[in-house]
Amino acid sequence: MSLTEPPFDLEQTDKHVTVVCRLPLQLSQGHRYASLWEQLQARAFEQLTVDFSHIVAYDTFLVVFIRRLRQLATDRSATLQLWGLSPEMERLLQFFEQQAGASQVPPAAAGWRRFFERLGESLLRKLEDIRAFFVFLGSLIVDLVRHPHRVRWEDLPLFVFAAGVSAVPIVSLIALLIGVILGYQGAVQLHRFGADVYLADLIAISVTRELGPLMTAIIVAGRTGSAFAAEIGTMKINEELDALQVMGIDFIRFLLLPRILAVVLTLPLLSLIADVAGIVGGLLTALTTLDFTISGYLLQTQQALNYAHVFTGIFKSFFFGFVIGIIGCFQGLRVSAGSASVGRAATIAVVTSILLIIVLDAVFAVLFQVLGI
Amino acid sequence: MSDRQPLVQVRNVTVQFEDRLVLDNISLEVFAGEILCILGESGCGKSTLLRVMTGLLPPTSGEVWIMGQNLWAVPEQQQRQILRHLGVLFQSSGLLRSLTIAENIALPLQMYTHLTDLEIMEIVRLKLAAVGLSGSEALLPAELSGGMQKRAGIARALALDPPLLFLDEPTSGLDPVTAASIDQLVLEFKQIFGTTMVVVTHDLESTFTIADRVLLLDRHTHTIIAEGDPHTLRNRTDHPAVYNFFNRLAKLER
Ligand SMILES: Nc1ncnc2c1ncn2[C@@H]1O[C@H](COP(=O)(O)OP(=O)(O)OP(=O)(O)O)[C@@H](O)[C@H]1O
Ligand SMILES: [Mg+2]
Repeated sequence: MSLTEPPFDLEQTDKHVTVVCRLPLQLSQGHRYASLWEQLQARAFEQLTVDFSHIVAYDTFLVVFIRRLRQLATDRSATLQLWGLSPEMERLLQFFEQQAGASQVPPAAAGWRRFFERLGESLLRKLEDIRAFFVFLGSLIVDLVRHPHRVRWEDLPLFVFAAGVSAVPIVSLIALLIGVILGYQGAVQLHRFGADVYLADLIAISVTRELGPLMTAIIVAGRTGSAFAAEIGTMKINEELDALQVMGIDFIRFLLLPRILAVVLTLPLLSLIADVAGIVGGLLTALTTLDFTISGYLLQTQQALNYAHVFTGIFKSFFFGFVIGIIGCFQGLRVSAGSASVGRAATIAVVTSILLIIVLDAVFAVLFQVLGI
Repeated sequence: MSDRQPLVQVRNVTVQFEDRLVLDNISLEVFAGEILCILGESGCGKSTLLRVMTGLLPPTSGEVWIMGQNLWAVPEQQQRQILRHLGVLFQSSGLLRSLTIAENIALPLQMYTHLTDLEIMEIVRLKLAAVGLSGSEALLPAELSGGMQKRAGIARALALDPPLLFLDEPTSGLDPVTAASIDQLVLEFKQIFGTTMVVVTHDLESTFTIADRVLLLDRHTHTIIAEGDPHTLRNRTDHPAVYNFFNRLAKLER
C-alpha cells in the first residue's frame, strides 16, 4: 500500500467500465479516490462493474462510496454491478441503508430561484420581526400604564447605578473631547471671518441641541443596550424566564420594566452632564487658541443658550433612552438557542438602537425646525 | 479473556482533588472488541476515571496505556495522535452549542480527513440516520431534546469510526424505549465495526444488555470492588455493596 500505488484500476471495453478498488475504503483514505469520479464523469458507459474483492480495510466510507456509485449509475441510466463484497461489508451497508432509507433530502432549488426564495424568506422574517416588536412594545406600555404598582421598583436603583452612575466618567470624557474637537474646527473657520466670539455660541448650541444627547445615547446603547440583550438572552437560555413564568411572575414587570425605566431616567441626566463637559471642552480650546477669558466665554455662552436649546436636547434623550432600553430587552427576548445567538442579540441591539436613535434625531430636527423651536 | 490484547491499560491510577481522594490506586484493562461497563453510585468517580482515560485529566499518579503508548508520558503531539483514535460521548453531550448538529458531526471529519464537503455531508447524514436523527441536520443543539442531544453526541463520537469508544451515561435521562434503542445501536456498532467500548452507566438494564464485563467502583473506598460478568455479579451475595447495587437495594447501614 505504498503512496505511489494507484488506488484503483479502471478498464473500459465498449460500453462496459470495470473498476477494481485497491486502496482501503476508509475515511482517512477516501480522498485518494477523488480521481475515480473525474474519470467516470468523463466516460460514456452503460454498464459499470466495481470489484471490492481486494479491499481488506474499510469503514463508513465504503457506504458513502457505494451510495455515490449508485447515484452515478442512476444518473447515467447505467447498470451497476458490485463484485466481491464480503458478508461483513454487506451487513455494514444494510445497517446504514435501513436507517438512511427514509432520509431523503429535498433537492436544492436552482441558483436564481434559491436567491429569490432566500430574499423572500428574509423579507418575511424582517416583517415578522417588526410585528413582534410592536406586539412587545404594546404589551409593555399596557403593563406600565395599567399596573404601575406591580413593577419591581426595588431593582430600579441597581439599574440606575449600572446604566447611569457608572457611565458618568466615560460620557463626560467623550463629551469633553468632542467639545475640544469641535472647538478647534470652529476656531479655525470663525477666525478667518474675525468672528472669534461666536465660538462660544457654536459650541453651546451644537453640544446642547445635538452632540451631547446624541453621543451620550450612542455610548449608552453600546454599554447598556448590549448588556440588557446579553443578560436577558442568557436568562432565557438558562430557562430562567420559563421558571419565572411558571411561578406566575410576569417577566416584563419583573425584569424588563425596571431596566427600561432606568435608562429612560438616567439618559437625560447623563446628557446634561455631557452638555457641561462639552462646553468645558470648548472653553479649553477657546482659552488656548483664541483670545478668550473664562468669564468672557461663559458670558457669551449664557447669552447664546436659551431654555429651548437645552430642553430640546433633554426631551430627545427621553426617547433615546426608551429606544435603547426597549431594543436591548427585545433583542434579549429574541434569543432562541445557543451562546452564539446571545452575542448576535447584543450586536443587533446596539446596531439597531444606534440606527433608530439617529433616525429619531433627524425626525426631531425637522420637527423642531417646522415648529420653530 | 487473557488471550486477548488489552487495548487500554490503567495502571495504579490515583486522582486527588486538593485533599479529596476520588480514585485510589485503580488498575484495569480493556480488551479489544469488548464492551466494558463501569458502574457505581453517583459521585464515585466514574466520569473522573473516563477523563483520565481520554486525556482530559492527568492522574495524580499512575499510568494510562492506550494501544501500547503511555498516554500521559508521551509528548503532546503524540498524545493528540492517540486521542484521534478515541470517540467520546460526554455526560452532558458536549455538543458545540453555536454549531448545528450537522456541523458538529462534520467537525472531526473536516479536521482529520481530506474528504470533500459532499462526502462529509453524506457521512453526517448516514451517522445521523444511524442514531435515528434524520432530518435534524440544520438544528442547533439547544433545539433538540435531551435524549436527542445524547444521540447527536454519539453520532459525533462515531464520526471517524473510532476503534475505541468512551460513552459517559449514554442512556441516562432517556425513556426506556429510546434507551433500549441506544443499547441496540451500541451492540450493532460493536458487531459491525468491532468497536471496543467503555461505557459509564447507572442503568442496570442497559448493563445487562450490552456489557461483556463490568467494573463496580465504590464511593467510600475509591477502588474497584467487583469485576466480572454482570449476570454472575448479580447473584453474588458475599459482598453486600455489590449485592445492593445490582439488586437496587438502599443501603441500610448508617
Ligand atoms: N474538577 C474537580 N474538582 C474537584 N472535585 C471534583 C472535580 N471533578 C470531580 N470532582 C469530585 O470527584 C467526585 C467524582 O466525580 P465524578 O464526576 O467522577 O462522579 P461520577 O461517578 O461520574 O458521578 P455521576 O454518576 O453523578 O456522574 C465527586 O465527588 C466530585 O465532587
Ligand atoms: Mg459522571
